[in-house]
Amino acid sequence: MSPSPKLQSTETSIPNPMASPTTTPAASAAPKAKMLAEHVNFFYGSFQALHDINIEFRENQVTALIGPSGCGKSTFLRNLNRINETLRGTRLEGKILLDGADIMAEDVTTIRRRVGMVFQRPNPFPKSIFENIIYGPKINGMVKGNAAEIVEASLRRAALWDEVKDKLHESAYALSGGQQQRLCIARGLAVNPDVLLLDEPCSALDPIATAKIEDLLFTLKEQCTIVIVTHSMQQAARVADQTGFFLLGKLIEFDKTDVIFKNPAKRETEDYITGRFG
Amino acid sequence: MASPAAVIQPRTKSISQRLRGGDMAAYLLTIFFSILILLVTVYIVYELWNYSLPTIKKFGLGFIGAQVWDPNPDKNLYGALPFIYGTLITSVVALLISVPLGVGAAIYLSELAAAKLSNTLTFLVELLAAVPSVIYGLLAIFTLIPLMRDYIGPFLEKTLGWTGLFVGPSYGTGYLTAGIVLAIMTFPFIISVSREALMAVPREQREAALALGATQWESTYQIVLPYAKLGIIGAVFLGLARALGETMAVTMVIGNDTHLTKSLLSQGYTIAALVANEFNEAGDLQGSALVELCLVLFVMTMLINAGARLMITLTTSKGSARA
Amino acid sequence: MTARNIRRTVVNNVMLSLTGVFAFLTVTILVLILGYLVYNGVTSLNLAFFTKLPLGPGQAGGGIANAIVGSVMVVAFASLFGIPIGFLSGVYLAEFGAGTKFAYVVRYTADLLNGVPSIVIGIFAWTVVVKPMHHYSALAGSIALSLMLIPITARSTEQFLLEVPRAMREGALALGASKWKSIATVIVPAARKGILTGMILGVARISGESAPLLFTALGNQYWCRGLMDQTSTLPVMIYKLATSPYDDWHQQAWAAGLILLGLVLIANITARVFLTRGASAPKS
Repeated sequence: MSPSPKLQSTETSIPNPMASPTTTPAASAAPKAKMLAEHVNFFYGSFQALHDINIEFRENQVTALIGPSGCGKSTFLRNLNRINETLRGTRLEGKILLDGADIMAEDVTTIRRRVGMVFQRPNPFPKSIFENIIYGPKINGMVKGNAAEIVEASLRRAALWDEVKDKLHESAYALSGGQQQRLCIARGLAVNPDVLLLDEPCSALDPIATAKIEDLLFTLKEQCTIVIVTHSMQQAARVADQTGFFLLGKLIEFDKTDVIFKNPAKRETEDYITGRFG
Repeated sequence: MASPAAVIQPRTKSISQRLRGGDMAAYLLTIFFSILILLVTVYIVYELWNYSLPTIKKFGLGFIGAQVWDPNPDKNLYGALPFIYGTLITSVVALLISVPLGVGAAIYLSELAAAKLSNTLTFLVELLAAVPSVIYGLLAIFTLIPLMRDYIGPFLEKTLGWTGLFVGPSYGTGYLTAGIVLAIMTFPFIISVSREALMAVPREQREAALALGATQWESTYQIVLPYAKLGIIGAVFLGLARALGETMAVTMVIGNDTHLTKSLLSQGYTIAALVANEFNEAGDLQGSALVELCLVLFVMTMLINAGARLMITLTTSKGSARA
Repeated sequence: MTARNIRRTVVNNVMLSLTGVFAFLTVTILVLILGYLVYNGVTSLNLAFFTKLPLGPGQAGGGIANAIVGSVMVVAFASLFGIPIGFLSGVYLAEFGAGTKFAYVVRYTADLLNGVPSIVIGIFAWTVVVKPMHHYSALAGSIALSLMLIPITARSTEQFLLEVPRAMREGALALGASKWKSIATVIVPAARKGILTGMILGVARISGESAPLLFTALGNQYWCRGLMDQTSTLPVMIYKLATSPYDDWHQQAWAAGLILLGLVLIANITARVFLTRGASAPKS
């Protein structure tokens, strides 16, 4: 496993949000692929939901997956942390690599710790804010007397610390929707994932909460690789370095965000961008 | 059926007019029978109280704590404690066995089994719940009692006898045997109610735990189960209420001893079993004491059922508060 | 994999397997019950068993005919009282009283009545029927059983009536049907599968009850001479045979148990299979 520009080793130290990885030499070189999908086909029973997907997610960059409802972007995302395995009758063909290693060959709980996920609707556990955050580190054996520091660092990374620092032991459900979603982001960050997957994280939130989370992504990408599925093209245009356009289970086009939105190569992409459908 | 002239009439009607004719009759008929339910229930409480009066007058509140049961005409003394104890201890033993097994089975049915297997097993669980009490008793007499007497009892005496809970000659009948039979009887019930509670937990909760790197067991045990906690506690309460009132199977295996003994291997009595055995031949005061015991049992089951219902309302209101 | 992860995986596999074992325990128990009953009881099942009266211990050829007839009679009359009352109360709860405070009280009371231990119901029936009449009777037994049938029927009727979609109700009313007509001709027929299933399951349940009959119908060595006479019933007969000291009576207990369980299971399976081409099963 190659050392990443961010500070943490996987077990003991807490991430330092103050570090600026962009000054390290590795980042200024051509960004390498943190995750890679090769000829991915995916089936729900006999129905083929994904056809020959080839895509790469570059380290410390935000990649957005866009496309109309039912195009397979969420399905594809859920394969990256193998959460689709919890559904019955699903089958994955092809390879998905994390740092060059096939994720299917590794222990699934390790993969899921390294590839975190934030879901469409905020889903905090019915516990206190503190307990929500520390849950991941606890089960992964990452807490060594430094629970409070882990919680504070994660909440700071999710830009939620100031708002909740005085009520860490209150129920997570006392927070607003936007705060709950940032709590879920903090919870995901607490286990120091290499990659963070966000499945339409703002679809249940108001514009102000959405803006807060989008701002978050700019700082987060310095420590993580981010993949975000979004229904909103404007959001993709705002936050993503790379964008992939899905349609009917196929990856139609994948390129720099600028290119996709200003100069798409495929006609389907252009039709979607200009609102002719979807 | 309205003539063209009638159609032009204004349509506003009062409630009583709208319920005119057939509607009113139907309303009265159905509400009459509903009132009947209320009346009958009140009547039951009244009759129980009425027939308990002689005992209440004679022994007062001391009846609850007294450990005597002597129908001899020169003594005629009665106390409820051994039977309240027997009722409670057998039910507790039953739940200690059936709750872990039942919740475990429910976990399998709600999370692990494929849909078809889960449905088939659930169907079998519901069939098991329909088996009459007397059948369980019949089986227990000829299978469980010998088992207890020859193997389980002596084994427990040897290994755990030092606790004081497993002492004395084991005849096969007794508190523990009754507890085991009750466990088998409440087992299907705990499974089906717990399964529903578990299936009501939103999938996103489990996925959130798995996404953080939890194993399937960790996500079930640490996240899903606590989320369904109230519903499962409600199931336990309901199971408890049923176990308290169980008569036939218990009567057939409890050993019929009116004394209160600490050892689980010794014979005892539950309220229901005592009443079943003694009521028909009971003298006046004895009969009254038995009815008062029924009143006590009624109150116990009522309180626990109310508690269960509270849990279930709490689950649903909490569920909506989370949305 | 780290040692910690290995441990977590082992725990995971062990616990999940355990839950499977527990689940299959239900199958085991059911098979054991049926197995024992069949193995021990089937040899005693002959025509005489179904048609003859019980004989003394040691005398061969006796039967439980009176118990079977007695059960049928007691359960039939209990249903005669209990089903209409329960059904109409259920209609009230779902249709006329829905949402009112009074309906809430009725529902709460029905649940309360449902939770009353069956032996207490038996005592109650004794106080209101047997004591005043100075003798045991099948009538008293029927009344006791009907008291158990009423809340079961009421709640399951209510449950299935409430499941009828609002669109159907409004459709009937919009066509000009009065409320009771829409209930009788549209809503109840729409829910009839569930309601019927609830009734069948309720009747099956009371057929197996013996505690309420101990002080009401009591038992009878001979044929019962009518509702006013005490009568033998299948569950009570099983109890008496099983707890007796005679081996041949034990044999008969197994056979009688097989009959009772067979009937109850057939009723349950038919009702539930009948229902699965529709909504879910009633909540017991």
